[in-house]
Amino acid sequence: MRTKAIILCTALTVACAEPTGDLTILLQAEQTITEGITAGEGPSNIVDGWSVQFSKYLVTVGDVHLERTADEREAHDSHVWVVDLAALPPGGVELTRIEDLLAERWDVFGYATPRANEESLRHPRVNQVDFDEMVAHGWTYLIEGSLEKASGESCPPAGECRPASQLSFRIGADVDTVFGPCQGEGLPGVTVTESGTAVSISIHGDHLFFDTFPSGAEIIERRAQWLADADLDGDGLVTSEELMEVSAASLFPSTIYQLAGAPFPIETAYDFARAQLATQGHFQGEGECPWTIDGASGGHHH
Amino acid sequence: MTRALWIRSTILLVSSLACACGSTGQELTSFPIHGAASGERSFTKDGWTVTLERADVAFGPVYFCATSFADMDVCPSAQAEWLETQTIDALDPTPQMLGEAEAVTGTVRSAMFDYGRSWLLTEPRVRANEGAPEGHSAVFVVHLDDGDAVVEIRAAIDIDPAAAGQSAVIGAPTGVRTIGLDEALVVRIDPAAWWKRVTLDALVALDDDGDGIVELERGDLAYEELVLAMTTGRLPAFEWAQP
Repeated sequence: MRTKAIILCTALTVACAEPTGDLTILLQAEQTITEGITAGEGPSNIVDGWSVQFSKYLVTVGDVHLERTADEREAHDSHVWVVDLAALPPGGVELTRIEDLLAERWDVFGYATPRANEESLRHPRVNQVDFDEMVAHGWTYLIEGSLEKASGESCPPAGECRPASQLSFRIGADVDTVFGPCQGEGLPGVTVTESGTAVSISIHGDHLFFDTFPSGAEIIERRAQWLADADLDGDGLVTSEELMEVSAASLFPSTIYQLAGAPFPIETAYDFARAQLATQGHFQGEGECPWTIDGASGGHHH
Repeated sequence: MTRALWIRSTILLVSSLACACGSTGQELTSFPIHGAASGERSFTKDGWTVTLERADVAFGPVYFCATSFADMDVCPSAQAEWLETQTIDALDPTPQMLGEAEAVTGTVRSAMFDYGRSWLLTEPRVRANEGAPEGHSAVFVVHLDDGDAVVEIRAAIDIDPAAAGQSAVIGAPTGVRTIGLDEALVVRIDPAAWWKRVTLDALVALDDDGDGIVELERGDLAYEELVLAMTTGRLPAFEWAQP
């Protein structure tokens, strides 16, 4: 998809003489999505013994926005795609290209992960059934995967623990979030050059397992027992409906979880999942993009 | 260096620049912080009449930030701060003087604060601040009445920061407020809103000896529900006014 920049020029005669270039916007998935998250004690591991693999990680993403605060120029690509991050190659995929941008620094770069709708575009690696389900429910995410732990147990809050060395999960969620202004390597926005520039929207995959809404990398631990415990009916598949049913207070004890800084009140496990998903959008790998959802804003480093 | 020291450095810098250059556009100021109750004291839920008999809530220290989300990363130096802790009688709607905040004139959008239990960078663990009720973040006595019996719930809630240097509550919206030289703040707390989040049947079931008294402990569902309500649910409301 290529879009001619819709630019508000203050002086057209000057604009025509200005050098321009194209901006290619890639979509990249964090390795946690494509390769999973292993159990262990390292900073990127899940510390309670569970390993996670994702078979599908559909996200609705797009609505790219650029600004130059110096001269108030703007460029916008309003297209939105549904993409399966779990199926992306390591280098990511080209999401869109905005042509004929002023070859200068654009200090504001942002994008959105909105709800899927009829105008959303299906990426070729997303099957039609999943796409239709995303649109029908207005989901931002459809995540399928599995948890494994040889000695694992599922301990639903109102029931007995039972052996569960493997569980599956399927989570569909609307998480209509705007990300930006983004910073990569300490610099805000992007520099467009005449020869063309590529930047990446990066979606992380491990926030579902964070034990806090962090403001410092050193305090985050990843845990998955809560998801195993949310298998209320014991059928081995954790669903969105089960997450909606189970109280967050019964799955996220305050001795482990500190959930202050959540973008909205956390009452159920589904709220927790939605809140964590709202923080997953990044830029150029680990670059930060403040998030805004339901009128609340935040951002963090990790 | 603690966060407070960073803030004091900022204030010192502003002060120095003001001396050197005559004016920086920012001025040192201070404003009073009051605490008060909001909302109702009694409500009905699931066949129970719930009456709050005591709701002492520790508040402070608090840091006000220009950013829309106050936390230690994005707000390394605050626009205003109050470093003490006082207990707010959260059943009394009359504003209660807590203290005087130090500030630099400018806009604030969010706050981070503790409920009376802090973890300074220079200390190995969380400590209860002087001014916290019995060393806790909040102390409640609540009566549940179903028409046949009354159950008394006693709860001492501790809400601790996640890590040294952190505040227990981050990103609390304050509204966009330009702090001038003539400012005042009332922090309003609605404890009934917190108790409305509690699953009452599970709470009453904790009275296993039938004496009509339940002492909540960390790990009890109601305790955890209160923690979530106080940190992610109905946060204290910041009401600005010119005194």
